[in-house]
Amino acid sequence: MPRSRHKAQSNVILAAIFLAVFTIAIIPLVIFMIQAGQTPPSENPLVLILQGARIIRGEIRGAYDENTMGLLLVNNAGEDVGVDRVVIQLLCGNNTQIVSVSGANIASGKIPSGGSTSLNISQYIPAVCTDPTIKTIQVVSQTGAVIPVRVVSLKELLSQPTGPGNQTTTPIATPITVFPSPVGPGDDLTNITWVFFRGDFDVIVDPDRSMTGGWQQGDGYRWVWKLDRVINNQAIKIDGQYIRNIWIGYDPRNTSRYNILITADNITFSTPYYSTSSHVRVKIIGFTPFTSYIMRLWTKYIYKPPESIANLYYTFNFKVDIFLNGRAEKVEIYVRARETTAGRNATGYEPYILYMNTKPNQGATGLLFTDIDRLWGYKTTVNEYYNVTDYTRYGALRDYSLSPLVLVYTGYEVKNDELSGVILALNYQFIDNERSDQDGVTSNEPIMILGLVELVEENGEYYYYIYTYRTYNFWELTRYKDTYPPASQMQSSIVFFPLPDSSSGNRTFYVFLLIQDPYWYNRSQPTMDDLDFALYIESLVLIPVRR
Amino acid sequence: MSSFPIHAFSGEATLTTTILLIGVALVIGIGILSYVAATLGNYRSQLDLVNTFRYEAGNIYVNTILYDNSTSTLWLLFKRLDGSIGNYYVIIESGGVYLNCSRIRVYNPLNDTNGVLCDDQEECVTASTVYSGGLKGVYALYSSGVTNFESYARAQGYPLASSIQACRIPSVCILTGKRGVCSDNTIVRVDLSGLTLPVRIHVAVEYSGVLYVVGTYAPF
Repeated sequence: MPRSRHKAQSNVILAAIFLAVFTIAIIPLVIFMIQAGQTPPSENPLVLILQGARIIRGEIRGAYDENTMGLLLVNNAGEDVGVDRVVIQLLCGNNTQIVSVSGANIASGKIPSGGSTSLNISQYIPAVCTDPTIKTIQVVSQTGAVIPVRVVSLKELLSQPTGPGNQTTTPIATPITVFPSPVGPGDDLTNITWVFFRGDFDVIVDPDRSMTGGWQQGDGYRWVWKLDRVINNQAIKIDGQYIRNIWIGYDPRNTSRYNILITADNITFSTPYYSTSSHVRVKIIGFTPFTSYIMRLWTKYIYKPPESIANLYYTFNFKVDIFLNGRAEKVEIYVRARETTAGRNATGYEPYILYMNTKPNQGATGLLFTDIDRLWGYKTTVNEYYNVTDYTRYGALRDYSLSPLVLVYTGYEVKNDELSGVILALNYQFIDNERSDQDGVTSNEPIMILGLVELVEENGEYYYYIYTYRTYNFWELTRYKDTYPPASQMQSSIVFFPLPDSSSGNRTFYVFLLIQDPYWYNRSQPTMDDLDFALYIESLVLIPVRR
Repeated sequence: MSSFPIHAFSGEATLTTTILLIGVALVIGIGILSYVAATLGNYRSQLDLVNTFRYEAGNIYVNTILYDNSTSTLWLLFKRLDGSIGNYYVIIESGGVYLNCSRIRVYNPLNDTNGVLCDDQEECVTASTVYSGGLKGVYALYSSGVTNFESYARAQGYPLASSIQACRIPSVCILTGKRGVCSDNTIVRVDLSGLTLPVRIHVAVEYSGVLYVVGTYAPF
């Protein structure tokens, strides 16, 4: 047998022995190390900490009446609270003593959740203690919570201050939208009172003495807008007529339709045929165009209402020809005429108000007021008229308010026992036809007034009394627009009205908005104070501030 | 002349060397095994200790009932949240002075006849002294390990002293002889006359005859 084979065999045997020994030594070591690495997870003390937190959540209120020595404990903790003992720190003469009353003296040893328990502690005060004074009272619950009891006398309770420190308020309540005012599909937008009524407004307006114009020399009759023609639910067509101003907005009942107000020196409708040579105001409600555009103004196609109420007036050399073809729910044509009926020299606000939105918002409407009919002027020229010497129809188109339009919003009662004040946020646009702006007037008059009124009964009659208000005068309003080239922007105004404290009596107030045109013209300077304007109320929001 | 085969000698030498090497390997292996076993065992026992202390730190609950200014008396409440009956061990320090156990008394409601707390000697049991000596004789749980109380006090900024007393406060259930789960609160009176504030109550746990501070309660 070759020796080299013997040697190879012995090496294999030795290697096997070594491996066996190595395995016996190492494997238990490895197993031990793996096991040792898996130390048991440490006891999480979190549960105990939480339990500790839970037992100190004591929401117990207590009051001690010194006269009867009765202790009243009220449990608002949301669970029954077991009383271990009541610890009372007592002053006996000059000595302090700590008296402990076991919870066993309380019925069932606990205060039920949401309930209360009372304890007369006079029997636990030592007999030697004469004239004791309670310094502190602590309730020790069975769970270990120590709850201090407020020691109050009856006198103290009655004179508890209610200062600002005691207030936990959520100051601002849900905002109330006054404008845009709700409208439904069947509402008649030409009846302004109906729409206000629907929007919870109390309208204070004199329908026969609201707006008027100049008078006719000779007979002294006033020039007013008179309803000359109403077209209901028909196709209408105006083909190339010169107009002066136009306002276009979305119909709030159906935003695929449009509400339009046109002023012109005269007009002729092709369909249905109508023609007048008088100054004219045309209100078109619910207009659906037959064309892909709403209308054409000379060469300009109007596809959607402009955001600015100044965009489409005084355009194109101060008059423009209009091409309009479509169907209208209702058309009202007002012509300028003398009011010859005895005792009447004015109209309501109907010819001047158009319900519309500058944005396609459905279901609620903004309010456009405008008495601009013709042209702007400087402080040295007559507004609305070319000719300063046209004395026969003196100031005929220069409308002004004999009495304002007042809207009292009765949809929300502003009560001083609940509210400390109201915030009113008003969004509006304004443009006027006085190109000299504030230099064109001799006085700064209010055009819009926002405020609070109070309904007061006197001798069986109810009256609105103005409690507080903020005016929007001409000088302020005219700052943010340009008469020509016409430009106006949406303005925002936020007003805070504090309410009187209810300690002087509970009072109820209502938000009101007043609109008027205070300017006719100045009799001694006929080219001054002769402005007309357009005002669009986009939104008015009432934000109640709680006490 | 007889001759030994050279290869036969060579085989024996290899075997001897291998056996020697195995022996050395065994010795080293057993050595490492013993070392690792000892280290891990030590580590695990310390971990057990720390876990126990952590449990007790959360379990023992201390609350202030009131401090009576006129008599400089502090009334404390002790409770074990798990309801076990046992002693409480405390080291109390007030204004830099470590209190003697004679200042600490435990209220026993069984001996209360008139409702006035601790107005006679029997009603309130004086705490017994379980340790008296230097700060290093007591240990403390600190930074997830165990250190002596002196280092702990130094690290936390607590005052040092040459001698302190650790006191045993028996649970009220021990005093009243109640069995089962103990839900009663132990009321303790601490006499702080002549001392200034603040007060610190170091709560300790006894483990194999040695006291370990597991938490410090500072009411004011």
